[in-house]
Amino acid sequence: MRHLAIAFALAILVIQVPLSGCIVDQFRPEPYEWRMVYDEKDKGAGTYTFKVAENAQRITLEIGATVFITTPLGETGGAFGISVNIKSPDDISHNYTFNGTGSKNDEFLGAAAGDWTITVTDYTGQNKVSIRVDSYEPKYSDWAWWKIWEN
Amino acid sequence: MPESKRNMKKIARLAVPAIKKLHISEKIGNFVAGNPKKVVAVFAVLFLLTLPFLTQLYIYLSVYEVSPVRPYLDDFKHLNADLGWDNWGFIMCVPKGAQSVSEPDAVREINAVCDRLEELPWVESTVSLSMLVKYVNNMAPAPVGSYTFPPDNAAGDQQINLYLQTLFQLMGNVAYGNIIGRPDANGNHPWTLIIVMMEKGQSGEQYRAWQRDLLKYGQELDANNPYADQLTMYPMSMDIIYSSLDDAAVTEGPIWVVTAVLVDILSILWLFRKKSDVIISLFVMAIVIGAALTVMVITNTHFNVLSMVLIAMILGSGIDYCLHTIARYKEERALGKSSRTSANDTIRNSMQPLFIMASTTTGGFAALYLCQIPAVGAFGVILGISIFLAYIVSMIFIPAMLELFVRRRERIDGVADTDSSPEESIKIEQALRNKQRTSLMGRIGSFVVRHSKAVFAIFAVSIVLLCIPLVSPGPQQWGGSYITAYTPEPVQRGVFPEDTYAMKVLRLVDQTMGIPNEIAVVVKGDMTDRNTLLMMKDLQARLDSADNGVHGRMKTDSVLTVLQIYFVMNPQEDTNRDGIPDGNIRASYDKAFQDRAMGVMMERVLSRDYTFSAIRLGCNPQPKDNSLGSDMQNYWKTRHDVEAKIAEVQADYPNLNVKISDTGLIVLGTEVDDAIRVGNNDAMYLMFVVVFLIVFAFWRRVSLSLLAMIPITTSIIVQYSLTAAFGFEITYVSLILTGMVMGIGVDDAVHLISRMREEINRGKTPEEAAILSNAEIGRVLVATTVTTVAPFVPIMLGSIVLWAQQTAMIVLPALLGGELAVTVCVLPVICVWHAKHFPKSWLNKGNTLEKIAQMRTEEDARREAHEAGQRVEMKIPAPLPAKRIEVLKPEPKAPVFPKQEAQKPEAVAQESGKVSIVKMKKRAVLKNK
Repeated sequence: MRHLAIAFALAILVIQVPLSGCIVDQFRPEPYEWRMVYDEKDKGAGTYTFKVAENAQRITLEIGATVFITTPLGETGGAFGISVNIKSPDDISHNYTFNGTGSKNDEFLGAAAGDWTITVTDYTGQNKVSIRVDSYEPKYSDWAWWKIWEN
Repeated sequence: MPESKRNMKKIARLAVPAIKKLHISEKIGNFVAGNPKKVVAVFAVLFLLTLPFLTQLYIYLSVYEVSPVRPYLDDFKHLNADLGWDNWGFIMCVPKGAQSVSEPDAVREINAVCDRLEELPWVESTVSLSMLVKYVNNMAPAPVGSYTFPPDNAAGDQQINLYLQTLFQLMGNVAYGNIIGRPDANGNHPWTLIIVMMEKGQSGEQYRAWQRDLLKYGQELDANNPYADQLTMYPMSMDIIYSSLDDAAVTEGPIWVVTAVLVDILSILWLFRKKSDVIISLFVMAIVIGAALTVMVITNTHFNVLSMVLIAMILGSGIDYCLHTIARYKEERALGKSSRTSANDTIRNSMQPLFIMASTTTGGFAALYLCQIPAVGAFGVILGISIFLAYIVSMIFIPAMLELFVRRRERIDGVADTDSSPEESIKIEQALRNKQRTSLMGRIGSFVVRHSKAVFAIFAVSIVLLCIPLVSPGPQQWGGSYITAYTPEPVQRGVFPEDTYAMKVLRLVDQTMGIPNEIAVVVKGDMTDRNTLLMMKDLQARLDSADNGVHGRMKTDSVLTVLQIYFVMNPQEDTNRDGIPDGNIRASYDKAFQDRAMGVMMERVLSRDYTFSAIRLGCNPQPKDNSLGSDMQNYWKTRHDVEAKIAEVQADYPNLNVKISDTGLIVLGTEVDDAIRVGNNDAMYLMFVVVFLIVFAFWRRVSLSLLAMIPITTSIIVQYSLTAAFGFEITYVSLILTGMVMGIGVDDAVHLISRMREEINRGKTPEEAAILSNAEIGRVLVATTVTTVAPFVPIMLGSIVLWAQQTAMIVLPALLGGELAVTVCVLPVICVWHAKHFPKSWLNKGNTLEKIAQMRTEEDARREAHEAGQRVEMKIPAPLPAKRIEVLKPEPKAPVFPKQEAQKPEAVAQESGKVSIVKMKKRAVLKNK
């Protein structure tokens, strides 16, 4: 009888322990952090890449442009300095054009994992951009609910 | 007499004694005392069984859980699920670098943020100025027009300005009411709103998770977009506001619970000074909390900020039963009984009074169910169940555990644990009673009985003084809409936590667009029927005419309003200009739903199956001065105005097969107000009756049952008097308080009166019985009340949830002053007076005044003999011991083993304060050897 009771208690505890993850997740969910994935200064025209890790939630983009010379655009007569195109692994593009020195930020929610492409277009060869990309991704690659002390 | 009647009487004659002979408490007592191991094992298994359930709990409190369950609620849920609200998130935008939210770059920022939000898989669409700009752009014929946002250049700026002008001309009142604030004197628009529409048909918990993400993403996107310096964006929604309560449950709740546990431990140590008693009591609490949470999981009741109070209160109130049971067991042991007899007698003697206590507490809390607010009702019912469980577990598990502990001690000490002889028992009891008389509570009892007139006079004056705030202005009643439940001045009425993001945004919304308190007129019927639409047009016109200033009407929105815009682009469908499609109405609806922008607007007012529509009246009936009560009057007035118009229309269109009703936040506010009225008035009276009947059912004495109601009455007076004096309003929080005061307040009185009755039936005079009762259980009463109110101390001192703070500010004086002080100091005086004037009311069945008188004589003789013995023994130079009653220590002067003690009195003296019966017997055995 006593052995049966002990076996029963152990069985309950064995069921209980993994289920505790549900409670832990409510109070201490998996830790994420911002991590820099790309940071280059004074880049001219060209194509560059950076990688977004699996399970990254979102990425932020900071583009600082230094425009020395602009070129006229034929159709509208507007000035064109330098442009940056960011393309995700699932072929969604975002374009940022600078007609003068300045900076622009952006954030992509649900950023796709894989290689992202940055294409810088500058017809003058004189203008430069500085690009920084930060990714919000899991803090630990092997995190599990029972490692709450790592949280 | 007819045969059937005779048979009934016969059955009754046989059945009643049979029931009486059940002797449940004795049977349970015998079983527990005989099988302590089995009992402990069963409870341990039950506890283990609850553990897997606990992992299924999650924290969630929604607006529906604090809304009264009444007919309007179905419409409210239907409206919010079908026509949007559950699935809406809002982002309030105010100028930062821009002068007006309608400036081109400001609209570009909105566009950038909306574009990103629409990338989220669960976001279906957004409604914003940028979406409307794209919509107007699309109105131009192809290839010029397209559903795109104008480019970032001077030409694009011109386009944006032009489209916005067109938009305002087109949408006028509707656009202003929903999306953008009216321009100020300089033509600048002060605010605009982004509505984020998520997938429909998801669970409330899913929306809560998405809304939390929206809050996070919205703030980040505001800082990280190419036009970030134009506007400041504040994501907000009902879910975000309510999630602040979830956060409070996570951040503050553990502190409340830990405080309750600490106070429990301290109380047990103060009373019994044994670690084993702490362990036993905490294990009882763990079993009860495990069971309570399992009930929550099984009944799909969510864990929320109230549940945290619930756990703290289970710890505070449930521990009372542990304390009473342990105290009784210790007392039985102190009378020289063996562990088995003590366990048996503890159950037999305490089962009934503690059952009355548990029943009244359970009844008091369960009565909260009457308020019809699910979260409060569930709180009351689960707390009631938990209290009753605490009673059962304490009553059965604790004697079993204590017996096992004693048996273990026996094995270690090698002493037989047997009952003392009757002579020894009498001596021990005399010593014990003497000690109790001289204890602090005994002295208090003695003092109040001696100065009964003064005590009663002070009591009467205090009650009169407390009644003054009740009868002068009286506390204001307020239910109100939960979304306006934050208003800080001049009334502190915070349902939601202060100093949180949600509260700051609510205030911002209040200062800019005003809190959108909507009343929705729901029409159920065939919406493709022309007559139905004509009736709705008539109704909408009448509702607009009912705008009397109190309502502060901002907009009226309906399928007819949306169709007006639709007809601007499709004038051929309404050639007679009556606002209703000339031809196939269903075809016009289909076409409007297919349009990207028009479809979004249609979804707000018409269900996809065309059987459910709403006329949404955006109102703000809250007065600017936030004066007490007047906002509630305005809520009621708004509702009555709308319902009057509905009644008129229903009378004018008797043959139309439609059902018209009203719902929305304003209706919710009034229903909450009414539920509070029902709860605070009807439920309170019902609670009084139920508690009285429970007590009466056991005692069968009207006068004694009424006496037990005195502390409840005084604590209720203290509660409402302080509510009025502090300027708090009566809300559903007051209701929780009333239930608590009712449930817990009667316990101490029942216990005291039961004990006094027991003493009187043993032959004590009323005065002596009152003093002894106070002495015997006074400390336990103090400890149990302190454990009950202890969790409220940190809430009062540091909670950011204002209503919780107010609750605590009332609970402490109501229970400590109105209940405990009255029970310990006033009730004995009243009981003594009553017992002197109506002695028969205090007799047990079968007992007579003559028997009592005889017992009294015998008791006096015994006491005299005992005192004489004491006087003889006083010659022996033994120091007076006696610090505690419950350490099972007989006084050296009331020797259990007179021979041995007489031989070596100094040995006993050295052990003063720590000697137990078992130890003394062990010594005696060793000496005999």
